Amino acid sequence: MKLLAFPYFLGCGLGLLILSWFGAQVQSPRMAREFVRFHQSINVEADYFPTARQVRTIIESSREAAPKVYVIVGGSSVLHGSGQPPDLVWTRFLQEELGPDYQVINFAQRSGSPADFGNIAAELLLLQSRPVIFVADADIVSYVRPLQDSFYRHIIFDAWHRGYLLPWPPRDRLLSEVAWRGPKELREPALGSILDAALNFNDLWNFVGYEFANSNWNRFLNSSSFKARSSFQEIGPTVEQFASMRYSYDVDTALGQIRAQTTWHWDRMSQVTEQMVPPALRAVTLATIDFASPYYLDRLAPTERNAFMARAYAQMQRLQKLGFNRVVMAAKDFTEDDYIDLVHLVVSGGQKLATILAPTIKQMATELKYLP
Amino acid sequence: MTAFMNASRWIVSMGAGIATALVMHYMLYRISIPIKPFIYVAF
Repeated sequence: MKLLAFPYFLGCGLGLLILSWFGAQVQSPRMAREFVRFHQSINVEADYFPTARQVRTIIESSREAAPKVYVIVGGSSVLHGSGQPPDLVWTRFLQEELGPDYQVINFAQRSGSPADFGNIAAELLLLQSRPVIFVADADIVSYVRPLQDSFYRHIIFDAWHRGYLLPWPPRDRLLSEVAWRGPKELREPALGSILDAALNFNDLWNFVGYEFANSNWNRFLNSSSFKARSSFQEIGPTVEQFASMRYSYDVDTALGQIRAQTTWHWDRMSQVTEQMVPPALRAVTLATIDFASPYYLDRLAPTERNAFMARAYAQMQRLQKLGFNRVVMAAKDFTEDDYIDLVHLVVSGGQKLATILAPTIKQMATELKYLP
Repeated sequence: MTAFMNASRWIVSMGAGIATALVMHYMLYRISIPIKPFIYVAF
C-alpha cells in the first residue's frame, strides 16, 4: 500500500508534538524520594545524563513541606562524598547538625565543579525567591572548571534554555554564541539543547530509562545495562573496604599533583569564575577550599609546604574579593585518618566537615534574613 | 469500498508518520549521548 504524503507528515508532526508534551510532563517522584546523590549508575559515567527538569523535580518533591532554608551542595567528588558510603555520607551529618528548618540536597558530582550542576538548583531557587545557601568546594588554585572541560556541560545548556539560570550577561553570551561559533566540545551540547528545548527527548527517554528499562549499553554497567536505572541502588565499597583502599596511590604521583598546582594562572581562573558564576549566586555561596591530606603534605619540603599554605590563603582572599559570602578552609586541621587519598574524606572527615560548616551556614541563614 | 480504502490509507499513513516521529524522537536522544565514554575515575 502506498502511503499518502499529507497524513504521513501530519502523523509525524503530531507524534513529535505528543512525545514532546509527554517529555515536558513526566517526572520520577521515586527518584526524588530515594535521592541521596547522583551516584555512578545515574550519572554521566553510566551514560545517564540527568536533566535540569530532574534536578527541579528533586528539589520540589523531596519533602512534603518546604523547608525554611535550602542548603544546596554542589561541586566536586569531595563534597559528593566519594570515600563515604551513601548511608554515612557527610551531607546526612550536615542535615542532622542543621535540623529540620533546613533541607540539605547533595548535587555535587564526581569530577564536577561548582558551576556545572549543583548551581542550577541554587539558581532556580534564587529565581523563585526561595531561601537558599549554596555550599561548594574549590581547590587551592581554581574554583570553576571551564565549560568545555566539564563532564556536565550538557545540563548547563539545558537549564539555560529552560530558564532555570539567573540572568548573567557574560555567561548568557557564552551560552548563546557557542552553538554557532564555539569549540566542538560545546557546539554539540549547545545545538542538542536547542532541539531538546523544543522536543524534550532527554526528559522523556531519561524517564523511561529510569522507570522501566534503559536502552543503551554502557561498559560501566555491562550486562546490567538494560535494567531500569531505578533498580540500581548505590553500591559502593563499605567503610572497611574504603579503609583498605586508603592511600593506595603512588606517593610521588600525589606529590607531583600538589606541586603542579602552582602552574595555574589565577587571572584565567578568575575570569572563568566571573563569567560562569552570577554575583547573586556568589552572595549566597559558602565556598570551602579542598585541602590536601597531611599524609602527603607532611612529605613536602618545608618551603614547598609553606608555598602550598600561601596559595591556599591567597585562594581564600581571591574568592572573598570576588564576592563569595563565605570562604573557609574547613579541612585545614584534619588528620591523615580523615582522608582516603589526596583530597577525599572518609566518614570521620565527612563528619568533621559537617560539624565545621553547620555553624557558618546557620550564621549565613540569619544574615541573609532567612531565619531570625 | 473506495471510501474504506481511502480511510485505511489515511490511517496507515498517519500511523507510519507517528512511528517515524517515535523513532526520530528516540534517535535524537541517543545521538545526544556522547560515544566517547566519560570519566572512569577511582572516586
